[in-house]
Amino acid sequence: MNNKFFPSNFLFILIMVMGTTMTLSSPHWLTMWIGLELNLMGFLPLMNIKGKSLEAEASMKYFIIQSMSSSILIMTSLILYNYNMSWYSMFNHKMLSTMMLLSLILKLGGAPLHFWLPNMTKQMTWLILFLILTWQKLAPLFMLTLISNLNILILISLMSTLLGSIMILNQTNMQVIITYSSISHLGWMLSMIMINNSLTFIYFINYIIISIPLMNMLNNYTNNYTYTLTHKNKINKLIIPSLILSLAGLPPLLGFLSKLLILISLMQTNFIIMTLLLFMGTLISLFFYLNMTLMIIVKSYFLFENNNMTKPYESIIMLNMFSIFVFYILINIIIKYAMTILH
Amino acid sequence: MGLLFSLIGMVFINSIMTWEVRYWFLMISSFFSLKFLNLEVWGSTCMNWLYCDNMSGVLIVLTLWIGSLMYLASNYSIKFMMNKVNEFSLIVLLLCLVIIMFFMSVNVYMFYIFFEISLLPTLMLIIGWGYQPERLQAGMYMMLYTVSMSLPLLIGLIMLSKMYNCYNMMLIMYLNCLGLLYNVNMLWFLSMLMAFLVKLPMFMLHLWLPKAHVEAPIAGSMILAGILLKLGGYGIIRMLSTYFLNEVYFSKILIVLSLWGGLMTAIICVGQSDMKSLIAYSSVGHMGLMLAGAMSKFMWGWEGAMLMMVSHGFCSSGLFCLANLLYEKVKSRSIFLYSGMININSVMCMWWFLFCIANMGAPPFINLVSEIMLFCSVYLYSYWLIIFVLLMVFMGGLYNLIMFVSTQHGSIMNFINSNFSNFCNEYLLLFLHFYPMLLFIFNIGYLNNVFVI
Repeated sequence: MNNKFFPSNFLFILIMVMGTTMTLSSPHWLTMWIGLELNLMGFLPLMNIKGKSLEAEASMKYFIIQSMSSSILIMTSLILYNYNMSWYSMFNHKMLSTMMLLSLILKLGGAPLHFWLPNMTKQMTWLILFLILTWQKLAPLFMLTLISNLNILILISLMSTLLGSIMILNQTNMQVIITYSSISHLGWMLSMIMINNSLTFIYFINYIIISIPLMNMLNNYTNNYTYTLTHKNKINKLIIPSLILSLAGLPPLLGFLSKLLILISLMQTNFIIMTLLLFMGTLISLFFYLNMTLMIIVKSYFLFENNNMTKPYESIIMLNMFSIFVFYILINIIIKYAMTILH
Repeated sequence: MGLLFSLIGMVFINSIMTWEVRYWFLMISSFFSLKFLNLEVWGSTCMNWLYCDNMSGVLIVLTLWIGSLMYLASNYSIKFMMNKVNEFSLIVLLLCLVIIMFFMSVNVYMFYIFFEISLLPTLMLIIGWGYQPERLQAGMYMMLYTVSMSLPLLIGLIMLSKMYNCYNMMLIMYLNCLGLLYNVNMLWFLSMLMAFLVKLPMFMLHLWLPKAHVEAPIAGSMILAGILLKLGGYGIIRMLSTYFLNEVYFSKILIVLSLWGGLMTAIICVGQSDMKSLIAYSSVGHMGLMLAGAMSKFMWGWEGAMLMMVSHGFCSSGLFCLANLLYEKVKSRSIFLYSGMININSVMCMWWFLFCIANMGAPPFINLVSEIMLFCSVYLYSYWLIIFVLLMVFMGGLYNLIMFVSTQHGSIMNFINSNFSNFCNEYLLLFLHFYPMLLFIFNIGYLNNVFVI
């Protein structure tokens, strides 16, 4: 099992993917639940890939939380069945849908129920962290489109944006930082999921595009603590700052584009105070991201060091940095898309 | 358009003599872009995205001019000292490109986005080539002030374009929806202008500017004083002319505040010992005067504001160059260590004199014309404001005189025992700042074409 290429690992990956796909493609609460459980069953062995005790502890925590939330989900869907005589997701009930929504938020690690996530991520490898922050969020996030309970969702999204960016301020562990930033990004995604889930999907994909090279580089070149960013190492000095600023959502970069889309769509639906609050959260975290960027740029004494470019990520990083030339030309089309899909 | 493409092309050249090629390119393109001074009153469009009218044309010329002079000014500190030469020239070029795109963009999102992008190369300039460790704090101040205040701008722009159903600023301007924003709420007013007021900077929002100036290298403070402040001024005038924010109550407050701020910063300048910080505060005062003129909403006020932006761009940038030339010799920015420079180099003393009187608004320069126009418009707005104006003129003369006298006159400091000589490229640099400032007065009729519509 300690080998990364141990044959059964491919089986587990397949199960994980299959579970998510099953959840995403079914309208039936029971099948969705089955998909979630399958996904969990596939993911748990992957978490123990190195077989250390800390990893086992993290995977136990993960298992408990996830199975609890999915059991709440299946219980509420059972009650819903009693109430509506239907398993299908289009029938809703106020109280029960709130329960269901909270269970999904617990699965995602949204703000009031997020405490398990940073607690656990310190003990994981970067790959598993990446999977938890991206792939594992896919299914619960898009199950949320089926539950219409806008008020609570708005509250949760605001809370997770603000909390994620406030909590990020005082951290030193890189994995925890990435986790909190993903919580605040989750807030942005949740704000849109009720209104226009394809925009959420665009945001999600952009987040993945940013975080793949970022996490890989942090994995390769740093030591999980922020002070290692200041050490002179073979990293290209322009790449990590651009990725971090892209997470922060500074205008020329890709992270801003997705924020802009969500912003336009929210303004179309007159959520003005909400957009202000969301942006407030982004500003708070911008302070920290800027700090990290300055750490990388200044202490290493070389502003650029172009010789050591990591080849496989070149295109992704180019996409990130020059997204202005790729996407912004199309911005009218995208804006039209963001506006009209609602009406 | 050809200008932009060739600028982008310049970004990618990578061979020997990169510095020189880029420098010459910017110089020559600033010469060619002089045709922007002769546009028709309705401007010229290029594709759907780029639009250049008389208001932005003169600022584009200013950008290219100052951009090329940045290379000339950092000849010693960057090129001669081999301090990351290629990266420096790349960043200056990118900054020029972004700012020109900002001046030419007609889509409101492009407008906002390029306004924001211009921060990043500036941050790089400050962080990468500044002198002291405090530059981190200065860069952080600059970013946070500007970004936090520009988020309401983004939201306001989106809401307005939703109202108009149109993202094209030129179209909105010609649509002439006079009634739409006639008696607007304070929130509209502030959200549309706050970002530019910070960038300008208005008094009370100006704290980032002296910090950034003090920590920035010479090229950074040249472009900060010369162009980035004009981004704010251009933005304010563009917003006012596009969206007709016909609001009378809060603009009154802004006028009083900015004039009061001009007076305050002039007083601060009198007691200032740091040379760069002194020039930075004086530019805060000038920009406050410009803001008062733009807010008075008289035609004279706006034309004076445009002229003030141009003249202040050349004048303060030239003053920063002078301060930097002294800094390179004495290695200090303190005004107390500079005395008696007239005995060492009297030609430089003449340049100091010329730029100081330009900064206080004395006769042969366009600074005088712009200040007269602004004072008149402020006086037309309310005659009580003449008190501020008089005090401000007096204090402005005072601090420039103090700056000139304390650097040039007096006895030579003991520790200066070698003869400072200046290279001819430094004289060229000062001359190229001085020349347009003096001779633009022949083209003062240009202002008639700016706000015809």
